[in-house]
Amino acid sequence: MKREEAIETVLDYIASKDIVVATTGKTGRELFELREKRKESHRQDFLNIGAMGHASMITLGIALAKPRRTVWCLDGDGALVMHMGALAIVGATRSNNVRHIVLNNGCHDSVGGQPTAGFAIDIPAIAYACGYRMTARAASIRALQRALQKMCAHPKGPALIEVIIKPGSRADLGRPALSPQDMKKAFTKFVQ
Amino acid sequence: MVIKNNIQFFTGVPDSVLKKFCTVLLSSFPPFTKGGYRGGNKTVRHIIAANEGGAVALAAGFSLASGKISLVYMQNAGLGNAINPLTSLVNKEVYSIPMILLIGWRGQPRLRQGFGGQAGTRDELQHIKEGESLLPMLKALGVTYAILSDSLPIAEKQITLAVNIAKKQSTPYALIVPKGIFA
Repeated sequence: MKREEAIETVLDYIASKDIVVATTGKTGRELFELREKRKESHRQDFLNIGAMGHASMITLGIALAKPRRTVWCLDGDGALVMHMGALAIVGATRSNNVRHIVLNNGCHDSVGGQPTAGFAIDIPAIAYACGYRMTARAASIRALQRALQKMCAHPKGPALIEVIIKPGSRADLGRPALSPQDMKKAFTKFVQ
Repeated sequence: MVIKNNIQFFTGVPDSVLKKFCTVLLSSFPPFTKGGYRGGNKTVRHIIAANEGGAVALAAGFSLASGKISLVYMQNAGLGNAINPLTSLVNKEVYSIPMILLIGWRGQPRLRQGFGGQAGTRDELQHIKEGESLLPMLKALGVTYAILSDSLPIAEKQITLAVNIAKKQSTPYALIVPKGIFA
């Protein structure tokens, strides 16, 4: 499964009132383009364009401020490893409204595909040990759909799914056409 | 004093210079409550972060979702951990998110020019370089700052001003705490 296919599968399970935080690099750019393709608004997405490894902390901050909203974090393996301490903090808060998706291609795909430790470690086991209360791993679209169904039905959070994906993206992948300030304005209006 | 300024979210990494502040925060908003590491009550929240960069990102998320200003506390040694989110997330040119940075100042230079010329305190070797670097680093990051006064009425005014400037400019504002102020 390609990253774009994984993100599109996850989008099918994200409700229109839910909040999404995307990690730095191509994940955010693909999310932006998928919203365009699906004719959906960008207002529910926060693209963490520069602070690699911190998407899950932004997610937790939003989840604490809005306990009745579900907040999804689209993370990457390189970002997760970069600030793994964040897993302990998210897990320790036992936040029921955090759903963490880790797109693992085992490499720093956005900057040239150099390897990460992503395939050498057990991400769901680490999350579980940190206090996440539902964890799963999926390596096919069908397995991802099953895991997402389980995640959405699970009453306790935080929850995490590791999605094994192939490296690479479309050659014509664009960059968000909106400025950060415009995205922030639409996002805060939607969230607050 | 901080509650008076309507700050409802606290996060950071504890520091000995800020020990008193951390003690008050911990006793008012204990982080270990039922079933997890979640501090505070319905209106005020407090989370001790894994590192200072994570704390800035956590505060940014809370502010984005609530529209309220947050406070991030740290020792100056931890500013390095926070540089990436300060430049690439909350910076004016990116998402422009207001917050107060409360920074305990270890290794403050012995002669602090422009601050009455009082002698600073001697500190351990590992703090000397970072103590000297604090103000130039904040300047390079474009973060406005004030050095907290040891006079309570002045400090209260500085805090209120810091909150107002951070909100008005929608940027981080640093309050630097020399050793001994919170003792």
